[in-house]
Amino acid sequence: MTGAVRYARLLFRTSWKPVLAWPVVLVALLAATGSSLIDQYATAGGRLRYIDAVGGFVVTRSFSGRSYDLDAVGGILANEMGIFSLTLFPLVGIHLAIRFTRAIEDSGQLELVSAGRVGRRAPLVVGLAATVLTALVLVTLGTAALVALGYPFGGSLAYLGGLGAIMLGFAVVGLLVGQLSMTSGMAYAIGLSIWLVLYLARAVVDMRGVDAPWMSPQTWLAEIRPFAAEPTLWPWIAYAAFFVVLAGAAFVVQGRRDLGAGVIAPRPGRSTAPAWLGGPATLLLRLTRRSGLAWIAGSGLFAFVLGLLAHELSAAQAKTGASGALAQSGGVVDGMTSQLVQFNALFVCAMAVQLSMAFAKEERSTRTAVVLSTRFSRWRWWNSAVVVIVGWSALALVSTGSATGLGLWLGLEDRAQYGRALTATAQLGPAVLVVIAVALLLIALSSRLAAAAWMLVAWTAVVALRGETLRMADWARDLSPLEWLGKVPVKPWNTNGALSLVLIAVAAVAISAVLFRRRSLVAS
Amino acid sequence: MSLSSNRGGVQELVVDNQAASPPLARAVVSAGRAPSRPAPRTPVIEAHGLRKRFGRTHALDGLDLVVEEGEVRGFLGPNGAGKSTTIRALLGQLRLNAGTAQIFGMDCWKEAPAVHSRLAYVPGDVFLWPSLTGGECIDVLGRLQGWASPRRRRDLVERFDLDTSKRARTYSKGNRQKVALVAALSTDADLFIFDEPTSGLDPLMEEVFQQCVREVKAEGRTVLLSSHILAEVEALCDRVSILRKGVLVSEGSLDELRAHTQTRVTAVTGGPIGGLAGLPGVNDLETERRPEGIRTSFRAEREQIPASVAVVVAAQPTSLTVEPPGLDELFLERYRDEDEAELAKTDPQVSP
Repeated sequence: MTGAVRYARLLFRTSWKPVLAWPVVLVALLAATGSSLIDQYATAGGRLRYIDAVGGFVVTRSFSGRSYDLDAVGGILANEMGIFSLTLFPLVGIHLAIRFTRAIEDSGQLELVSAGRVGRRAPLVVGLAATVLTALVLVTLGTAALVALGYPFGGSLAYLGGLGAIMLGFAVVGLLVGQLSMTSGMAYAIGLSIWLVLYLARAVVDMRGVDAPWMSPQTWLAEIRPFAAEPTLWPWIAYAAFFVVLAGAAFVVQGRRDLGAGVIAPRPGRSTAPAWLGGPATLLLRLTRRSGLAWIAGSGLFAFVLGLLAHELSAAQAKTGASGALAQSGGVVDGMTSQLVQFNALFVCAMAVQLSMAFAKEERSTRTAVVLSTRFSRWRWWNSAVVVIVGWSALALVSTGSATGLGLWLGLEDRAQYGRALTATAQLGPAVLVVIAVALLLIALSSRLAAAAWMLVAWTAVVALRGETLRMADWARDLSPLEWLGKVPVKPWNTNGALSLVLIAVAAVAISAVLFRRRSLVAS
Repeated sequence: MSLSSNRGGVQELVVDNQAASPPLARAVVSAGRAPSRPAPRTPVIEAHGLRKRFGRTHALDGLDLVVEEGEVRGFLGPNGAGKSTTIRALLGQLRLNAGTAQIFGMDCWKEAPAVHSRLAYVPGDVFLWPSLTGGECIDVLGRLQGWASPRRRRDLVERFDLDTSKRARTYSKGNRQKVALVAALSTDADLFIFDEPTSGLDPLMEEVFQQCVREVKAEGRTVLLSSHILAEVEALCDRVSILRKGVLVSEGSLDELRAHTQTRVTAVTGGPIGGLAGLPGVNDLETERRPEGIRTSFRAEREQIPASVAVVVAAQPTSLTVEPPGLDELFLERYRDEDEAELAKTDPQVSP
């Protein structure tokens, strides 16, 4: 532990932004939802109507986990935030742990640091401490925000504590896979896969109403019941034990491996390139192959499982005769399909931005400079990137649409569902094109701006998932390209909107190509 | 007494009066071979008045650089002098604020792909695609270039002793440089641009690199070699260009750069050497009594070398060394001069 304080100072100085930025982003989302709900459900009558409309609704339960204490506005908040609590918070936890440990090791900084008076354990301890600190900032800011909005202090603290706990639960997953993997890229891939499997397993259990609240960190969160008269204790103990065991395992692995290496070693490969690998497009295809296939497999699995669960949904719906918002808007199955295809589009948008960022990273790592010192022009390089990113996105739209369709077909034993889901997913393609175009436009301005494209994806997700709850103004909703296309298949496809999006995308890509040709490349 | 080696166009003459007593006595007669300038050839690189600003920093401040066909040009300068910026400008990766840069008569910015189809480039920091193997990287780079020779690739992989089945992320800096060098040297490029290509190579591999550059030169191809390894530049380059703060401060062959410098003469004799103090063009004369005799050292201007060495030889030295300044000395001297001139400019109390 020698030098831990010195290293902590260094880490904070170089990486303080995520410690503040993530809590601020997450709390902003929480506060926006919280402020709209506290007015909407101020009265007991309003809360009863909510219970009537949403309580026990299977779709909500499958996406957002179990809901408790809906007679309190805090319980409604926890339910409305459920989907983010089970997706965004764990993923941020995985990201932070890898960002503060393995990614720093990848950059070579730890070689320098560990050569100084800094003990072998210090970087991992400090990396974990930075993650815990981020969670504490989140809990503090979030509690303060909710209390300021009028939520009870005790419930708010317990609720934020739960969100911090799920974040840290997945952070130690990230910490451990970071130690097992040789690179942060591999750690992200394994960490995301673990999250996806746990999320889907929970979705199946919650959809079927199986009583297995102990199953995974994904199910423990709801069991905290922060706004109940007597919150439960055991989920806290479960999170603490999970944290201690996985963090301990990470330290054991770290003690047994070389710096810069992992337990999962890279295999040697072919000593010559295959004949097809030669031009910019094939090179970019080869570089994005693994992440592209991983996205397709992950999103396809997600889409298939949720599509399959629609069968459970319709059965539950028939039994209870519940009249949710979806049922009102054009049939339970179409409503479900509409949500599922929006998920598909969001997945594909996220994939497109991640691939765009990988393309931008090529420039920052000076590999683009090497490619552009050959006979290939900037124009060709840029167009190759457009073709590859659009190609992967088209493939992902078809595969997620097919997976949703297949799930619906098998679940509902209705073959026609396949075509409906595939068509509806494909109809959201123009929104994906706009996201790609915006990402490329940002990269054309500067490759360092690529990450800003995540804001568009995040906004699109917020509008798609929370647009109704937050009672957003039309202009705010229209900032999401998905809004331009209509809620297919419940509502008809907006062809004018689609055409406009395609035109905007084409214009933005053309401008990006011109900008990229005119600017200096980023130096290392 | 025999001719022993050839160093930067200067013949060395070794005098071995006391063969058993190390260090080996040797004399270098710098008045040997006259610098041989080839007839004017077509310029391959022609850059004039290059200016590039990054915010307030003037990375290039009116740089001129002309490299002729078939020559190996050394490109020197301290860190931040503008070497890599110049190379990036030549590769069309930078938008210049002013100036013109042409390679093979084509504009480096507007006609970049056409220019690049005839050159091969090795950057200083080689970042390869981590998930590809070394062999895949070599092939990809070769195919991007368009005309890599498989036979030459095999030969170079063997000479550089490279394991091409390893993933690029597992390579050391030296191995990454080997990959880039094999990829570049496998091509039929007419111009090679090397930006500190050997900083990670071991001495054996450095020798392989030098041999490769000599082969490239023998084939009449042109090389621009930016390097901090002065011995490498001295061994390979016909001419050197020295940069400082974005401008060219010196250019020429080593002999031309040495023309106005002084040669250091060191001798050990039984008794004092008379007559040196009065000779014109002899400076910094120092004598020191040592167990093996009297050690005399001085610096002589180029024209005074024969006369001053004759005086020393007359005193029957047991050891005699006549050394023209190496590139490292020229480099340091050039920089010291510039620093002093600059200091004098900013502080009139200090005379240069």
